[in-house]
This record gives sequence, C-alpha cells and structure tokens, in this order.
Amino acid sequence: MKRDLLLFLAVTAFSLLSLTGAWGGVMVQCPEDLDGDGVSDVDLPHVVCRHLTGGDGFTVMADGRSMYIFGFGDVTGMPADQVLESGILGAQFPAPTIVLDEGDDFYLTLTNVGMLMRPDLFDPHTVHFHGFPEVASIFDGLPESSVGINMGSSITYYYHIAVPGTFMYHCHAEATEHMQMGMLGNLYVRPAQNSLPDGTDLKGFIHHTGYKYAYNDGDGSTRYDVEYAIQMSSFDPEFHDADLNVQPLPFADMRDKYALLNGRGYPDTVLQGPILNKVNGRNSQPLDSLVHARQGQRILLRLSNLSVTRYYTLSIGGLYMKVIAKDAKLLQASDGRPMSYDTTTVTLGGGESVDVIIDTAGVPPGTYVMYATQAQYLSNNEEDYGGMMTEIVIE
Amino acid sequence: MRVRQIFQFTYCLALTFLLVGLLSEGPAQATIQGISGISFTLVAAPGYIKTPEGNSIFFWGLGSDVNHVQYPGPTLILNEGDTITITLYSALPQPVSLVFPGQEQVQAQGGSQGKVTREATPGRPVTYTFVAAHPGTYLYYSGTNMALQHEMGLFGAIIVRPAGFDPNAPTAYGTSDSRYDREYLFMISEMDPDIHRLVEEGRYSEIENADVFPTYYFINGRNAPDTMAPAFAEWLPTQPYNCMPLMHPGERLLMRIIGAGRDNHPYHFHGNHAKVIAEDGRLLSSGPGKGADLGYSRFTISAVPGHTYDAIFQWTGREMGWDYYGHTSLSDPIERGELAVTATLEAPLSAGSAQVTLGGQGEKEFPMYREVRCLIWSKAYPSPDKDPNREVVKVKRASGNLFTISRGLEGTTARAWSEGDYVAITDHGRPFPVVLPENQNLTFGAFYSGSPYLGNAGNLPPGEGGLNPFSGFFYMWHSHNEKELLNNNIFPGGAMTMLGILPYNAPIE
Amino acid sequence: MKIHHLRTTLFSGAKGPDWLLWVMVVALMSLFTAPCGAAAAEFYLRAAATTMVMPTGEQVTVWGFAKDSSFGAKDGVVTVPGPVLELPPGDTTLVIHLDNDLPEPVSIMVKGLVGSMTPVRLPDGRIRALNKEAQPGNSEPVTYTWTNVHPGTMMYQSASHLSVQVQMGLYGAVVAKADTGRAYDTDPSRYDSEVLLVLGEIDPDLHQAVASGNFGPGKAVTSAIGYRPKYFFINGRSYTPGVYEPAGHPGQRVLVRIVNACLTQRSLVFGGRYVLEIGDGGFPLPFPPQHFAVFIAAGGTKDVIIESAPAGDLPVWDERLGLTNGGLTDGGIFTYLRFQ
Repeated sequence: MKRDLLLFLAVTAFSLLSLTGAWGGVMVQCPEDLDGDGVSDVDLPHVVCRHLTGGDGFTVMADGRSMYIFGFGDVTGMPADQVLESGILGAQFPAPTIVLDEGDDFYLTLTNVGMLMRPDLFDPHTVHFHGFPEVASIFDGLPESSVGINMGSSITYYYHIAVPGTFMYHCHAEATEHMQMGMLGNLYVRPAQNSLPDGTDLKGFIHHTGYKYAYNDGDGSTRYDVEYAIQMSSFDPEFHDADLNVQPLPFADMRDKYALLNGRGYPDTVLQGPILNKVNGRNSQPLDSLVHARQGQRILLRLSNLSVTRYYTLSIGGLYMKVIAKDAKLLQASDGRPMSYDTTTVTLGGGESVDVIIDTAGVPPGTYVMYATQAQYLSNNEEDYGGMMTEIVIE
Repeated sequence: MRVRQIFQFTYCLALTFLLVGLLSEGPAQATIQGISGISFTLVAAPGYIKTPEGNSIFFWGLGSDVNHVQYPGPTLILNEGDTITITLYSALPQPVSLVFPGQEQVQAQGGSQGKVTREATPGRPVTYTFVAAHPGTYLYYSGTNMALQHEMGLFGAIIVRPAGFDPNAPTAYGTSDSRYDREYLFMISEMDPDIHRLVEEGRYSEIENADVFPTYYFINGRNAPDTMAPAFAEWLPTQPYNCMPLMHPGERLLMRIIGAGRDNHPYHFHGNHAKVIAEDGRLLSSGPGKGADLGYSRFTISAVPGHTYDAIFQWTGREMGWDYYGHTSLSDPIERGELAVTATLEAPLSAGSAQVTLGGQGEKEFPMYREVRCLIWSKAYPSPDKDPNREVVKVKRASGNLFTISRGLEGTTARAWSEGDYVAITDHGRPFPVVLPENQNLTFGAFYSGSPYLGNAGNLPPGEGGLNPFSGFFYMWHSHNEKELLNNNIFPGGAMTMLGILPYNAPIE
Repeated sequence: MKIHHLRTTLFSGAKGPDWLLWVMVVALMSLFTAPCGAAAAEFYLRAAATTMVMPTGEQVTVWGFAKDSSFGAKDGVVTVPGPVLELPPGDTTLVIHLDNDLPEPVSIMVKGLVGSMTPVRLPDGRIRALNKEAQPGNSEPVTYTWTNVHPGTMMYQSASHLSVQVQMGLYGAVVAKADTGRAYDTDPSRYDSEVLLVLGEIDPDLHQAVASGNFGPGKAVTSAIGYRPKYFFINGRSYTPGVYEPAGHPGQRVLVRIVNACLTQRSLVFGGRYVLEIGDGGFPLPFPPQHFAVFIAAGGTKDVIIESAPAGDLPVWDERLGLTNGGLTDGGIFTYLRFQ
C-alpha cells in the first residue's frame, strides 16, 4: 500500500518537475525518430537505438530471499509519458542484454527514474560500456571525468561500434555500491565477418550465408551454431538489506553469499520462464542460463564477470572448452597463428570476459553441469545445492 | 557528502602539485621513481603509512636507513648485464631476507641460512649479488615468513633497462614493439589492518594468517586519491611513489604492472585495450627477431600474485564516429595524433575508379570486412587540411590490400590521385552526434572540462570540475573488483588512479 | 579389451534412436567388465573416511580414496589426495570401479575427459551428482569408463555434492603418459624426470560439521558458504622440515605436474627460477610462456618444465600465501624439489 502511494507520488512529482523545467524529463535521441518513442521510423541500416531506465527494484534469490536492487530497465520504443511508470521499481537483473553488430551507430538513452525505496537518495546514474575501445570520456560513463544524469532526466550516449567481441556494461556512479546493488549487464558485438558474401573463401574455409562467427578470425575458426551470454556476479545480502533499510553500508565487510549466473542462483539458472519478485510481481530476473545444443553443434559461451568482490572459475563436468578470445580480443598471434587453447577451467576477475567454444561433435547426448570450482559458492547463502551452477543439455 | 568533500580536497592538493610537475622539463623515463646503480643498501625496519581517510597503519618496510623505510620498498632501476650487490640490514624483531625472482646467478652471503635463502638479523646483514641479465619488469620480496612479511610490506619493484638504453628513444626490451613515450609503474597490493595492529602490539600468537581479510588496496603503496598526489609528497614520508599516468593522443604508454599482494587484482583501464608484450620480464615472442608476436590485447589485466606484465597502451580516438577536437570543417587544422591510421596509394586512382590498392604498412590496420571513412590527400601536402582538393571516401577491404571505395562523399569531389598519395582513417570534421542534457540535469565530475572535446573548456556551473586545467580526457584505471575501491569503509579510494590524456599544448613532465 | 573396442565403435556412432540401445549395451558391458580383473588402467577406488593429523596436532576427519586390489578387498590405504591414477603410454582407456564406504552417495569424474554424464537429481529436481553414484555400502562396484583419454595431467574428483565432497578430500591426480618422453605431443613438453604436486586445503570446522552429522538442512551448518580453510597442503602434507620431493638430477628437464584441489587459485614460485608452462587442464599450451610465478586455477591443473636446475633443494611456495598452518605461521604450501 505504502509502495503504491509512493509510486503515485513519484510519477506525479516527476511529471510536475519536468513541466516546470526544473528536471529535464524523458528525452530520447535517435536518428529519424519522428514520433519521439526513441526508435527510427525509417529503415536506417546500422542505426540501433535503445532506451534504458536506471532505478531500483526487487529480485528474489533461489532460496526465496527477496533482494532489493538498483538496476536498469528496458523501455525501448515506449512513449515518453509511460517511461517513468515503467521504470520505477522496474529494475532488471542483470540489465537488459545489448546485442550489436560491428559497424553499428548505437544511440543509448538512459533515463534516471530515481530509487523509489530510497527517497533520501538523489544519485545520478551512468552507463559504462566496459571495454569499449578508443572511447571519449563524455561517453565513458565515468562520473568523475564526465557527467551523471540526475533523477527525472535523460542522457543519450553514442558509440560507433568498430570492434566485435564480448564486452559488458554497468553503472559507474558510486561504483562499489551501484554495482553491488546490481546495475550490471551483458553486452556483445557480432563481427562483420557474418555478412560476407556466400561462398567467400577464408583460407580454405568456405563461408556460407547464415554462418555466424565470434570474431573476424579470417579462417572460420570461431564459427558457432548457438551462443549464450552468461554473466557472473554475486550479492552480499547484508549490503542490500542495509541499502533498503537506509542503514550504513557495510563496504569494508562486504562478503558475497549469493553467486549468480545471469542474476540467478541454481536451480533458478535452469528455470525457463519468469521469476516474479515478491514486492511488485515484476519479472525482474528474465534470463536463465540453460544451454541447449544438438550433438555436433558448436556452442559459443560469452562469459563475463562483474562481481565486485571475487574471482570465479567455471568448469564443466564431462566437457572441455576451447578458449578463443579474452577481453573481446581473438587469441591470435600477429602472424595469424591461433593462440586459442583447450582447458577445463576459465577464471575471471571482475571486468574480464572470455569466449569459449564447446564442440559437441562426438559428445554423448545428456546433461552436463557448468559450475564454479570455488565450491563454497555452490550455495544460495545458507542453502546447499545452489549458487553458481547451470546445466548444458546436449540432444 | 562529507566523504566526497574529503576526496575533492585531496584531489585539489594533488592537482596543485601536479600542475607544478607538468610545467617542469625532464627526460621521458623519469615518470617511474626509483634508485639506480649497481650497489644498494636496504634496511628493513618498522614504520607507519597513512591512508587517505585518516588512518595510520604500522608496517615493515625497506629503505636507506631505519628512519627512511618505505612502502613498497625502493624501486631498483638497473641496467642489463650489470652485476648487482644489495646489502640487507635488519631492524626487525624476526629474521628477514630477499629473493629476486627471474634474476640470474643469485648468491647470498652473511647472516644465517633460512628456508629459502640467507637471512639477516640485527647486526648480521646479508649481501645478495645477482646479474641483471635480461631487461624487463621484475619484483623482489622477502623470502622469510612470507605470509606475514609480504603482508607487512617487504617487497619492491625492479626495472632492468635494456643494453644500449637511450632515454630519448626508450624501449622496454630493446625491440621496436617495446618502444614507448612514457612509462608508469602499477604495483598492486593490499593490507588487512587487523594483522598490522597485532604485529605492532607484539601479539604474534593471535595472528590468523589463514584468515586474512584485506580492507586497504594500494597502487605503488598509496590508496586513491593519494595515488594522484605528487611523488615524494611531504605528508606521505613512507609512501614516496605516486601513480598519475598522463599522455598525449597517439603516444605509447608503457604500463609495468606487478601483482605484489596475496590476491589477484583485475586491473581495468578505461579508454582502450592495451597490448601485453611481456610477462615476468620475458617478451611474449615465438623466437629471436620476432618481437612480441605472441602479445595479446586486454581491457583488464589480472595481476596474479608474484607476476609482472608489460603492456603498451595507446589512445587515438580512432573511429569514434565524431571529431573529438570539435572540428566542424574539413579545412580545420589537423591535430597531432589525429590521423591514427594512414596508408598510401599503391597505384594511381582514376576519378571513376571504385577500387584502390593501399600500402605503406598503414593498410594493415584497416578493418577486415567493414567500410570505414577516410580522407585522401596529395602527398604534396603534410596533412589533408592543407590540400584544397582532399576527398572524403569510404573504403572496405575486398581482399589483401585491395579495397573497394565509395567516392566524393560529404560534398567533396571524386578526382584522380597519384601513387603515394595518402589515405587516412579519420572522423575529422564530423559533428558531435547527440545533444547533451541541460546543466541542471547533470552531475559533473571533478575531472570534467565541461566540454566533450579534447582541449576545449566548456561552461561549467560555479564550483564544478576544476581538476582538469588543460581540458584533457580522464579515465579511471582501477581494480575492477570494486570492493577494492575502498579505504576501509570509505568509497572512493583503494587501488585506483586516473589516466589523463592531455592535448598536445599541455606539457607533460 | 575387445569389449572396449566395441564400445568405442558404438560411442562414435551413437546418435538418434540408437542411443537407448547404446545405454543398454553399456549397462550390460559394465556387468561384464567388472570381474575382468586388472587391466593396466583399471582401478578399484574406495571412498571412505579417515583421520588426518594437522601440523598443529589437531585431528581432522577427512574423506579420501583408497586403491584396492579388487572390489571388496578393502586393502588400500585411504589418503588425501587420493591415489595417483597413472595410464601407461598408449593406453587411452581408463576404468574406475567405485566402492563407497561413506555415509552419502559418491561419484567420480575426470576433468577434461569427455564422457557420458548421468546426473542424479534430488527430489526437487536439483542436480546432486554430475555422474552416476555409488550408494553407501554398495554391494556391487559402480564402473566409470573413458575410452578417449589423451596424455596429460588431470584431476579426478567426486562429482557428487560438490560443495562438500571436494573439500572433504575426494580428489586426486590422473596422469596419462605420452609414449615418447614428452608430456604432450609438443616438443617443449619433453622431459627426463617428473614430479607431481597436488595442492589442497582444509577448513577443520566444516570437516567437523560434516563428520559429526551437523551439516545439512535444519542442522547447525546448512551450506558451505562460510568455508574458511586454515591448513594448506602439497601432496597431503603441510610444510614439514626435512621433507622434500625428489625431482631429478641436476641439469635435467624436470616436468612438474600440478593439480590444484583448493577452492581458490594459487600462484606457485620455484625459488624464483623461470619455468616453461607447457600444459593447462590436461591439454598442451600452444606457445609455452616462461614464468617465475605459475597461476593454477581453482580445480585446474598446470604442467611446467624446470630446466637446468643445479644440485640442491629448490624451494617451492605459494605466492598467494597459503603458507600457514592454522594460526602457526611459516608452513602450508611450501616444499623443496630435490635435485641430486
């Protein structure tokens, strides 16, 4: 009841403030957007527009514990007058996945809808496109060296997407707090090699329309059939509760106890379908991490870690992985020789990404498990048989 | 709010000294502080370090005498081939020693034999000798009671200059791909203050080394924002080294990264990828003469305990999609570093041609399968702004160094060009792509110039910005396990600094 | 061996509706292979509890593996790490028959070896075990077969209840030899002599909770989230004065096989010498780098070559500083490699 009243007051207040000009209001910028919904109204090749909200919300951990978060919501294409209502308590975890193609002109609008449960906070938000090469500070989303967007207003970031690979994104305002609270998401760029003419000879490998590659490898070595972006992260419940209850934040004592893949702990990682949070019933953790492939297919896993406290190591029982790229760069010597390698483990610290390919040729059909070898994190806090683990089903 | 004020106050102090430094002249390699020579005396003794939020932590350090120990120990800057002698004296309550991973013919004399090497006690020094046989980035640390003595601060960096080192044309490994314009050290470590307190109070039996829980994180012995204060700042007598990387667009910045703590630290550098050319003092090379052909690019380098990394960072603003100098006309002047990738015509290009062959090595940097905007101009002119006939084109690699070309774009005219004329990837003259929000809707960073353009001071509200006098671009370089951006319970701080990319008219020490 | 050959053929041809048939054949085959006796790469492992004395004198219940002469013989010694499973050169088949004397089900997997995994689920659908399990007190062995073993250093471990059983001690090394004096089919991996280092760690409180039946839903400890190891080991031993690992003769190329069963990464230093990293996870590295600190992932393996070491004891330590014995300092993951 209190929450609905707050929501009503917040939307009303934001609307009034933007009318007076004190706050900027929702403003999206997208080329050839004629009706103001933030999407191009003519077909512009290689122009991509997205609109995110930055605010708060709730998730539920696999042991049933409700967890307050800060996060991003997706309001792409939504009329401006509906954005606040959708964004308030509409944070998703992880943030909406952003998929781009090399050569895109990407316009990303961020509207700060404020944190409804924390009316005492006036935090700005940003988007940091983590790993984006050759960035200018104005679009780096680092508030110390550029700007953060205030509550009730929008900013549009622009990126010319010149390089393929597995990146990630997060808010960089009050980084330790906002990232622990969940403002993290998957972001990857598909290579220009995907759009080569049919029959192109790549050093003896013949490209065909529809073939997909992880990178511009020049030899077909990163071709895959199915891809999954899986982001590691972890939550300290004491920190989240302190934030919700307006208590001093336990920064120094931060100990993550929910280790997550795409925002969920096992077995929710393999639950296909929504998880409705317990506070306003929103599907705020929409991503599962269940990997599906047919025998013989090549699986591309785009792995990244945005935990603010820990390194995690992933391993797969009964399978091995070929590491083809790290930090959005193909493992290739300067003379073109492959530097990719087979292994049983990949270890990532915060802000690192790895692309691995699993070739399922000859792999017996069945269910395989990908899990953190820091096995204490195969727990949902006090609950056993959970945590950073998911299933790979080969049919 | 109080926290932010402290932070900004320290930033301002740092900046005052930074400005003084900026105006001074000096050789390029002076940006890593340390001591040079072939013979060194190091004394291990207790001291106190300061942390930005006001704490004082007992530590064990190394220095020239008991009153001048430091954290980390002195950076030893050596020359390839020299035989080095280091005499270690101890004023610590337990034996101490030094090990020099990666050095050759290490010998120890004096003191008494420990588990790893010979150890010094008060009045019984040890002399270590080794040959600095190979150039590179190394470290040294205590080889005694390591779990405690590393925690307490007994480690330091070693840099070995290659034979024939020329300060005016420096390289890290004597190879052309290890050349650099500026170099900086990033020695990353951490501390658990509870352990230091127990040592200070002599309560050794209560120390639980297995259960260390660090709450302070350092670069070169300082926590942010002190990392950005000047080197040898008077108020940090035991933490003489800073970490304030500065560069101009297009320059090559050598990062020497060392994992000196017990934890891995994912060191993330905003701005661009960096190319790792060496690990543990060895060029990543498949053979003599091949250079760092096995080097790899990263946007985060995991500093593993006991490891070193050399990486080249460059930033040119290439293919940003807009002109970061704010030029709006093709005839506006070209700035230094702006033409990041320049190729030459291998053959004449006729006015109607839709294909072009490029050479001159620059073409290797062109993307593989994608169209890119370029300027063509005559070799008679040093840069395209001087050539009235310059032409905007888009080229796309067809195969090898053969490119397809779209001609006469953005109001320019397709015309004939000669062999040897220039083709450069550039966004020169392209407008800023979006409208920024009104000032009242923004929160400004202290390192923001008020303008998206390099070297351009915008209009900031009173009291905003202020730490960016040359209107550079600033980038956070930090541990990406963001818990490590704390000074105990205070954000921001920890293992963090800022890279400044300054316009060419801003001198850098 | 004939049966193994048959299985290989079926394996590579298995797809679609043949799959069910294949499962039936394998099940039948397991019955036949079990009593066949000891082939070169056939092992009878028994999971059981035992007691380890910590360097502080503390006694800790651990779970380990023993290598028995046959199922039911129970003549092996239970150790942590478990016995080394060595495959002779050219042998690409590994068979493990598992006997379980522990109070909860146990299973086996070898990391890096591709094989059919048959997960076991809890009533609520969660996977409890990644592979088929041996029940406590099983009267017949449960048999695991891999027919595609490649040369390398690998880790075997329990595939059941991973949060508990690995740190309780159910792990060991698989060493599959190449036949040419090389660890892998690569030139830099040639060696004259070899030594194996298995890294481990123990949280005595968690062991106590598990051993005393105080771990589980509704009990004193309900998950492993509070794991805090206090003891650190190489080959099941904390640093002990006078103890060393024979590594080879001075000047030889010595292969060091490293298995990290700790729940964290480690960074091994070999007296400050450079080593050549030639393998990771049981696979060769394409361009072996020279390092003076060797990163080994949690649950990972590394193979390194030490060249031209002089006579004497080369100290080995963990630069991640797992160098203590409980509250006592100066112990843990530290040993000497002896060259003589």
